[in-house]
Amino acid sequence: MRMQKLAAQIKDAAKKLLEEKKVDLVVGFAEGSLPLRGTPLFARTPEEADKLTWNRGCENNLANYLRKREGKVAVVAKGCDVRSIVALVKENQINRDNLYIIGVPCSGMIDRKKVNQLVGGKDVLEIEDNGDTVVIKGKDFSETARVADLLHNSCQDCRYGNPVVYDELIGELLPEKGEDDFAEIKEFEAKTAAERRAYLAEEFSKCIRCYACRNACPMCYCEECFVDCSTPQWIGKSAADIQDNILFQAVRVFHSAGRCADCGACERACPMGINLRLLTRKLVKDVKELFNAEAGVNMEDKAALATFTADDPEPFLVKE
Amino acid sequence: MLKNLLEYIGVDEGRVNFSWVSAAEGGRFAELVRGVTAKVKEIGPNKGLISSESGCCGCKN
Repeated sequence: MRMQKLAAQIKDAAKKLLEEKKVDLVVGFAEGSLPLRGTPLFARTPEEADKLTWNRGCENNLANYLRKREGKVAVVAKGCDVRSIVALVKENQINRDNLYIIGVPCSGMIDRKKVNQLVGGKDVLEIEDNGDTVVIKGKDFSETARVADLLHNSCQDCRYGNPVVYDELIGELLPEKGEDDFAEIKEFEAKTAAERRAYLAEEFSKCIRCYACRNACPMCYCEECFVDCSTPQWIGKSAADIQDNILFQAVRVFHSAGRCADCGACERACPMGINLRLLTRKLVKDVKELFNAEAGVNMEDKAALATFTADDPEPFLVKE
Repeated sequence: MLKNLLEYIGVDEGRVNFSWVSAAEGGRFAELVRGVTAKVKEIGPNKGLISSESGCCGCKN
C-alpha cells in the first residue's frame, strides 16, 4: 500500500510542477512491460506524468539522464540517485539551479535475478507489495518472500536510502542505518594474490564487453571512452582476452574513484552477472579509509581526488 | 589508490612503485631506481594477470 501511496504523491507533485510550468520535463519511472521492469519515463505534459509510478522495480539511476540538459528539469530520485546528482553538480555536469529534486526515501529495490532464483525461473506476472513481504505471482504459483532477502546487494549495503538533498520530499524519511563494514571487500583483500587473480579471471571470463556497466553508470560520461579509441588503441576490444576485460573494468572503476556513490547500477546492468561491485567498492572503501570521504553525501565537500592537502596519506610511496 | 587497486586485482605486491623526486636530486633518483630494479628482479618476470594460472584460452598450457 505504501508504494501505491508514494506513486500517487509522485504523480501529483509532477503534474503540479508541469501545470505551473515550473519545469519543462519530469524524469521518473513508468511501469515496465513485466513486474520489476520499471522503466525511465520522460514526462513533458501533465497527461504524460499520469504514467509515473513507484515500486520495488525502479532500480535505474536516473542521475544518468540529467547531465547537460536544457531547460528546467525535475527528477524523481532515490537516495543513490541524489548522491550521484550531487557528485555531478560538483563536476559541473548538472546545473543545480535548473534541477528540481523530488526526493523519495528508498528502502531498497528488488533484484529480479534473486526473484528468478526463488521461483526457479518461472515467469513472474505480478508482485504484490505488502511492505516487508511481497507475494510473487505467476501462472500456477504464488510465493511469499521477505523483501529484505530479495533486495539488490547494493541496496542491502546502502546507508543513504534517504535523499541527502531535495526540493520536495515524498513520503517519510527512513531510520538511519549503521556504518558500512565492507566485509566482502576485506575478505577478498585477505586472500592471496593468486586466489584473487583466479577469482577475477573466472568472473571476467563471462564479460562480453557490451559496456552496459559503463552506460548505466551516471559517472561514466567521457565523450570518448578509452575503450572506444582506435588511434591509439589503448586496449584490446575482444572479449576473448580476459586480461583486457579486467583491465577495462579496473580503469573504469579507477576513473570513478571518489565519485562512485556505490549505487550498483553497473552491476544491475550487467547481463552476465559479473560481481562488479567487488571492484567499485574497493575504491569506495579506500577513499573512505584514506580521505574519510564519501561521494555525493553533501554539497560542501569537494570530491576526494580533486583536493589536495599537505597531510594527505602517502602509503603508496616507496619506503626509503 | 592506483597501487591499492592494482595489487587488489592481483598484480604482484612490490611490482608497482611510486616516489617523488625533485629534478635536483639526481643521486637520490639513481638510488631509488636501483632499489626498485633490484626489488622487481627479485619478484621475477611479470606473468600477467591471468596467464600465471592458465593459458591463452583458459587451458593450463
